[in-house]
Amino acid sequence: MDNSIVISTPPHVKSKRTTRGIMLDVCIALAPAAIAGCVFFGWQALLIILMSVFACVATEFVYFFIANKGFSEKCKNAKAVCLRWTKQFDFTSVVTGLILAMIIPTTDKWYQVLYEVIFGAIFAIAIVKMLFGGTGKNLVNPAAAGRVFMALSFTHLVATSGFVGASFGPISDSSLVFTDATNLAGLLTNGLDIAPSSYLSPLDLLLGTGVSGCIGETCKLAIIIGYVYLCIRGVIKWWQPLLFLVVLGFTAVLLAGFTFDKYTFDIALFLPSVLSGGALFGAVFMMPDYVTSPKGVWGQLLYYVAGAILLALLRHFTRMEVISFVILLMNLVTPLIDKYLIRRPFGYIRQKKHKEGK
Amino acid sequence: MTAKQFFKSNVFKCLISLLCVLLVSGVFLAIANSFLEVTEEEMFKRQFNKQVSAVYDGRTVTPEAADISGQSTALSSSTIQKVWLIKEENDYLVQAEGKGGYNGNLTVWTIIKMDTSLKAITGIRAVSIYAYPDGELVGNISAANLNLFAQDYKDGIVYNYGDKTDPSYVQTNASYSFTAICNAVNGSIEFINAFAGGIVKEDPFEGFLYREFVNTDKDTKYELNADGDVVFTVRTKPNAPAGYFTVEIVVGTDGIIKKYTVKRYGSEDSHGEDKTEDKYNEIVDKMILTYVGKNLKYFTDKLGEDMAYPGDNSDKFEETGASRSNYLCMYAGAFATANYQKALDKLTTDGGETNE
Amino acid sequence: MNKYKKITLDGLIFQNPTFMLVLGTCPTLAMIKQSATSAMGMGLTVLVILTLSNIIISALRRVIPNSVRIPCYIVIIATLVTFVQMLLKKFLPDLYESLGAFLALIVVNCIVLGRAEAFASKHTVGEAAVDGIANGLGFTVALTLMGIICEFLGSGSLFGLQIMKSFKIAIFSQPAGAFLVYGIAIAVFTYVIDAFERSRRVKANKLARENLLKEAV
Repeated sequence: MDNSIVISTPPHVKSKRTTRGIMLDVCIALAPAAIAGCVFFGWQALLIILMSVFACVATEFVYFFIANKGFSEKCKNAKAVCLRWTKQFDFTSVVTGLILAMIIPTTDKWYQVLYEVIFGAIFAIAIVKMLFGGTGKNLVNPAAAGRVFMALSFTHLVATSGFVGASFGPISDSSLVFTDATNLAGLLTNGLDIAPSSYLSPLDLLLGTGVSGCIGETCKLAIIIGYVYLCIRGVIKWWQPLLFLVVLGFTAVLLAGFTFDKYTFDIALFLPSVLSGGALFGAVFMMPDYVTSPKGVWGQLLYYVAGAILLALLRHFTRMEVISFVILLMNLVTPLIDKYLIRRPFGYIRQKKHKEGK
Repeated sequence: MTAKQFFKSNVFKCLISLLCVLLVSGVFLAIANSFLEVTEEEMFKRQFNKQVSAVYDGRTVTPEAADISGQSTALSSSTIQKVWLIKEENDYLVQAEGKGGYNGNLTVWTIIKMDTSLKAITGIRAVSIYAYPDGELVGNISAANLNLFAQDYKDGIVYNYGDKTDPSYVQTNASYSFTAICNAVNGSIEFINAFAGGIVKEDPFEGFLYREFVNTDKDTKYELNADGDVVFTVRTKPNAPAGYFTVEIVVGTDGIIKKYTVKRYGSEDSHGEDKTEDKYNEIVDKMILTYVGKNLKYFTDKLGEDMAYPGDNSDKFEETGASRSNYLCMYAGAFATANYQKALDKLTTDGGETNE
Repeated sequence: MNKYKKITLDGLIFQNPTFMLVLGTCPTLAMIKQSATSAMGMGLTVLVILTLSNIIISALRRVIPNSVRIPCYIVIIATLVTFVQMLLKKFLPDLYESLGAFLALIVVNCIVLGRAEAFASKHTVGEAAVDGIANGLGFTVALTLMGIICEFLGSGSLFGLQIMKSFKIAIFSQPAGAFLVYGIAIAVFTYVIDAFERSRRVKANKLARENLLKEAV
């Protein structure tokens, strides 16, 4: 397709940014977390990441091929369709594959996870993204939806020994991690003052040493590096993840304080609740996604605050790591927010009401 | 309108047709019901054939209801509902309801193999789930899981597959339901042991107060000592993170505690430098000294009549730093003092036997 | 003859109650996630009740006044469902258990009431009977197909025979997966019907053009 003539309505803005560029930026930002995950969880993690990316790209290719009549007339157009696909390939499915791989845990049955991630990828790309219209038209974050699909389908990714339903985080086999308890699970079941002896210090949480969890989400330092890079490149706004995390922390502290007869607000609960589980990863890489978050500033404020409060509430009462579910919920509410929190149109100047008389 | 008009009107036609339809339907259903009714016996036969006949490889068996009136059927974690004797195979089929399921109690059929004299249990033939409340994850418990009961049976076994702290724990993703099933099977075995042996098992803690605050199933007992006082050995329940305590309380006349010793400390390490096990034990030792010389009124004053646990750091009693452990000891003290007279009566009329 | 053929094809394919009219989704979703056998059982039960109710209502269509037709239909359908419930409980207890609460829900199943209202009350007994059988068959086939897919993906078995021992995508044993399968099945079915209709139209156009050319000559 010839891209030299572009028809659009004013205002016209000339920019060097392309979808491909932004997606490559996100890939680079994800790289530290991916490397940290491979370091902590071994070569199985690398295999899972590669398989996930491959499955996502392959699914997109197959869907494009079928939908663009690659199979009609005995594959006469096959080559043309393939060329067309490579021309319009923006790296969105690569990013989806990366994120999906980073929010699943490796278990001792890693070969099983390999083929399960294929199903998650097919669901995420073919059903959540392509069926609804492709890039920019997905209703919810495809990686989160794929993760939820995998969690509901393959129960061994959810179950763990020791902690009830501490899903999305921990790994059932201790040979792949240094300790055998995820800090979030311990935190949720016991609270801060009577935590088990495997309680981890915030430094450990930050570096991710000895924390069991999903591949990409344990080394918080790597995620923060990615966050800084994304802010510098202007891909996400700096205040969005921060707002989310701050509200999350405070709500978690409030909730923990209200459960006992006396109101004890243990501010020390703030850091661990923010640094445990997938909250940091979700806040930096999944919630600020352009397609599934509101467009105006007020809408975004509401989105992040509501998301954080919801996450803290659900974590407290269900004692599970539910960041993916919360992301899905907030994505579904986004069109509503967009509809009712109307943004100021470009160039609109509010008329000052003229006072009566002088 | 006139009567004639009414009878010709649409309203009347509607009413008549509706009534006719209703009448015909009602009569039809009544006739059908009388022919197609399924009685209780038929239901039982059907259930029996479905769940049990497979075990006997299709041999015809006739269950015969056994008379269990007069036996204590309410055990600590289960209730025995019905017992059938399968004469051809020398088996007892016990229908028991096990407590502790996720949403209630599960009803389980256990087929217990007996020897030819019907006095001793030789094994378990099969366990099947008869009924369960909505929401139980019974689908996660496979046939292989239920076979474990038959496989692992040995004399005196108590099944604990659903208990995560037990070495025999089996991961099913339905541990609450599995615990209830284990309770039912354990209860069935216990019951048949007593029933077949001809023993009418008596409940040694019958009529005792505050039973639910201590563990009367394991280790708890009472006996007379040389001075005529009742020595209670009480095993408490755990109060996480504190584990269970085993304490020995000597109660004398008028229900006053003469001596209070802790045989097994249940406190465990907690977070923080000054919250180690030893620290807790020190605090507990100090507190139990205050119990000596007190009677039941002291405990009910402190705990309230219902003895509900008021929560950590409550201002209901003095800050001790080991509240949970302390409460367990107080529960044990209340149990001992409240039941002193009853225990004394039981012991003296039974001729001073020890009861488990 | 042609009339009956049209009614049958409509009920079976072109106006399939599950895929084209999207009626009776509640029992559909509940049954396909259980197993293929319970899906087929539900389909056959609805077939029986639909045919009988169509026959009775068509026979009574001139007797029941227009204003009370809905209550009368409901009473008749409810009677039939109760009767079938009693029959199942006595003779087919396994099916009765697997249907569970959804057997009673057939009373308000849109397919049954919809066909009674739209077709049986306006056509003869014979036509109504054929329509009932056709719609029931369409419903059964749709449910069985989706049930097979869901059961195979969800528990690796086919009509109870365990084929894949450990491979299970558990979401297809839950309503979410059933919804997914339902949606995709509607898409596939619509695509097939569209392709069929298109080819038929192309053929008809070609025939018409040839006839026109022949006439012009």
